[in-house]
Amino acid sequence: MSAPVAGRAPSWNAPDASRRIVVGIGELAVADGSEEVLVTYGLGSCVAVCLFDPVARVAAMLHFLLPEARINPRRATEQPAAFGDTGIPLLLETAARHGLKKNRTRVRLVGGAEVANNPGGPLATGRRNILAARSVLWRYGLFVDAEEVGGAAARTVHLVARDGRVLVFNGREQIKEI
Amino acid sequence: MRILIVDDSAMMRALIKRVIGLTELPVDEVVEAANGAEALRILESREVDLLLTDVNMPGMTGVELLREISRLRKWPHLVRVIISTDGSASRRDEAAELDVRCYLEKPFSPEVLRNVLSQAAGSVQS
Amino acid sequence: MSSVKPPDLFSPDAGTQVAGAVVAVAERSFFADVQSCDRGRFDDLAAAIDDSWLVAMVHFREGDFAGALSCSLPQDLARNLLDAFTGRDPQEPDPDREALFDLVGELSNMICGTWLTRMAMAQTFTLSRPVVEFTRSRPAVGEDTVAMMAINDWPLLVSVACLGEDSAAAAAGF
Repeated sequence: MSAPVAGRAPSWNAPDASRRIVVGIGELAVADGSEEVLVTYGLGSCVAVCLFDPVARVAAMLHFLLPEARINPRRATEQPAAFGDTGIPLLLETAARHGLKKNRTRVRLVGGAEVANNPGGPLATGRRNILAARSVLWRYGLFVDAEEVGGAAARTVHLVARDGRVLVFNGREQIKEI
Repeated sequence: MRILIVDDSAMMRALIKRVIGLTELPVDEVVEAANGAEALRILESREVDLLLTDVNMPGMTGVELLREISRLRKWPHLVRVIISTDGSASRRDEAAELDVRCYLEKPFSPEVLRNVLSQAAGSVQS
Repeated sequence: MSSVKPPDLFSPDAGTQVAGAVVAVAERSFFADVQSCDRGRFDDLAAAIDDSWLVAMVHFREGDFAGALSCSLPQDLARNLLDAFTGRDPQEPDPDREALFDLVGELSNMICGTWLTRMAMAQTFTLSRPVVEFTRSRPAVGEDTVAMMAINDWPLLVSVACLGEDSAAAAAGF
């Protein structure tokens, strides 16, 4: 079991913080080292797409904000990972360069909540993001193996590269493993 | 494993075929029919292990097809799956009497179909 | 004798039931963002369409209750839904008319079947093969209208007409 980060109560199977790769909003990352953990925080209406190839031991995560690039084409050019329909293909392409093969890949979705405090955000962005993720994944021939989506609470997600576990937290409390 | 898809919608048949292709199931052949009568002709002419059939089709419906298959008793090992918009209790009861292994209600997500296929494939005798 | 009571298609509940069926079908099989809309929004969306519409009609019988459900949607929405349903690569050649008609027919088939299943959980029903046609005319919102929807910001109109037993049977070939 990893040692807990100083000052925090340990959670079951808490990954070692020193090997965390933080994925910010509108970012993606790939881990092909077995001791790494991909982490993204504050998933409200945003969706995290988590990929894991157990043979190549490649883990990849995207944290996207909006469903479609046509909502803001200029931003999509500068930051394609901010949108589901441009971010997911980029995630797949990037992960493939590290050896991920689609037919072996497990896909998990997390997020897409309808958060009450979403100033300036259009209605039902969370739901639209979930639908966009499913649509793009289907276009690329991928099934969604598990998900923890919807609701009203923000989530934090850890994707453990060693074994592909996806751990979902509400604040500090782990609420699910999918 | 040889699969026969029976649905009067070519789009639906294409969707089901795509899901089959994306699974890791050991599939040798996928054939299609647009109605029950065409399905019977295919069953008479080649080996089929798994039948996926809609219910509401012109001419011979899916239920009529399954009744005929039961009556003929030629394909005792054929694994039967219904894929239909009709999710009523009556239709499901009818399906159970016709030795239907799985009942998948439309609309369905690709994952749900994949899971039904895996379940049905587990019943196919090698 | 059937235990199915014909629904009161003029009640708000009828519209909610049909709309619920549209949402289930659109989200699950087409990954579409779908909402009910009021007359004003529907008219605005419809007015922006400068193209053909497709209309699909499905006849149904559930016990002694028979009728026809029709869905009207712009051609662009039909193409959009076809792409989502099949996972079509935009680089592939455009789908032909037969594929579009098939898709719209299947959409209507699923909406009708989902609605009927929810309306009377115990009773089986039969559906005719959908009949689909092009029209340049915008669909009219009228007495038969039960749901006005926005799917991916395109309009969809659903109408249900209850028919007398003889005419429904004849129309559906039952």
